[in-house]
Amino acid sequence: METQENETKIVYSNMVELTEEMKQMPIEKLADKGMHEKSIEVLTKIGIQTLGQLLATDTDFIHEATLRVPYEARYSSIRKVIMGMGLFFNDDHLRWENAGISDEIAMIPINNLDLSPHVKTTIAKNTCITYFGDLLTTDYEVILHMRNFGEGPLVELKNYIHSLGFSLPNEEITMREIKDSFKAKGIPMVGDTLELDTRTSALLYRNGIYTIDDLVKCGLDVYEIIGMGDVKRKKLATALQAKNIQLGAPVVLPTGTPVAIRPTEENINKIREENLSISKRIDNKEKLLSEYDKLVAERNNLILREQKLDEEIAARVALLSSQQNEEGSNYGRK
Amino acid sequence: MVENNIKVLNDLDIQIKDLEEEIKNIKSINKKIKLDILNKLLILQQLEAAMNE
Repeated sequence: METQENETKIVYSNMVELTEEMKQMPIEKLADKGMHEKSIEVLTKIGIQTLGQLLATDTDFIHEATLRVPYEARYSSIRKVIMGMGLFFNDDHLRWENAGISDEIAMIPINNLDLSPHVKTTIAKNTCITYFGDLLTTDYEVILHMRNFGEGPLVELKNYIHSLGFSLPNEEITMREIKDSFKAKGIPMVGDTLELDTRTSALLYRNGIYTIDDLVKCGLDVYEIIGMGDVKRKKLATALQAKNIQLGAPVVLPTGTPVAIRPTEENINKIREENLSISKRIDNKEKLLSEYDKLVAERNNLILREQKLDEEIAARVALLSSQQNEEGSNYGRK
Repeated sequence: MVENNIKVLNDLDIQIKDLEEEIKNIKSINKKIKLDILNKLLILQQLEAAMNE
């Protein structure tokens, strides 16, 4: 249906051409198509008599009019029946047109798309999206925050949508895509070069430091980025030292014009409270740091003890086997 | 709140969280090493018994 670069993908749309005869269809007849009787009752009350009139009605108005009826008779169910018939509201047409999507493409059911069952099920479970048009007009943030929808499925969905020549509104690049692009270009990422742990690498990537060049450009300021705690700082410094890389002097940011402010009593108290909570946190951090150091020392001792035990076991095993060999040869002589 | 203080507080919170996680990790590693040591002591005892026989 949609051509992208060198590949043509065939996807089937549910869209049906709206004929004059269909437009004149009395609203009551929609009961045969699965429309709830309460819906028909409300629609008749607000003066809608034919299918043509229904499709031309403001959907917000229908939504408000059906708010007090059972869930299965509300606007979303009415829309589902209409779309099940291969038709759509004028409002939907306008929404899709604004997004640059043709009605035919918008009316492709999600189930007809060449996506993995996991992606389709997650979309169906977490959203009301059943058609491609709705998916293409759903904000990227909504898709990103769906439950059980990690980076893998997200990249799969994005790649598929891109392969059809579309994109989600307000789309952003995921960390995996960034990593893949670096991999494709053959540029080693800073985490791999310095053999950093996942957390430290992720912190650097989140702050736009992807390669050693970025890190060197950032200089000693890297130690000041939010989230760079003492542990990560130590790890990064050790890794840099191991690779014999020295960071330059920190970049001095220009300071603004100094403004004199006379502090009020309220402000002073506020600042006192803030300083108090900061000092409490510093105390807590100090305690945790000393606990961490103790645990590291304990681990080192344990490792040493384990190594000694290994040596002792190896020595005993050797002694035992030599004893057994000796006994065997003595027995042979006798 | 003073903007700089917000930064400091956030930074401290993240650092504390990181430290707590690191402590949790190292505790579990130490526990594992202790178990290994116990096993090895047992092996040593068995070896000694075998040698005395």
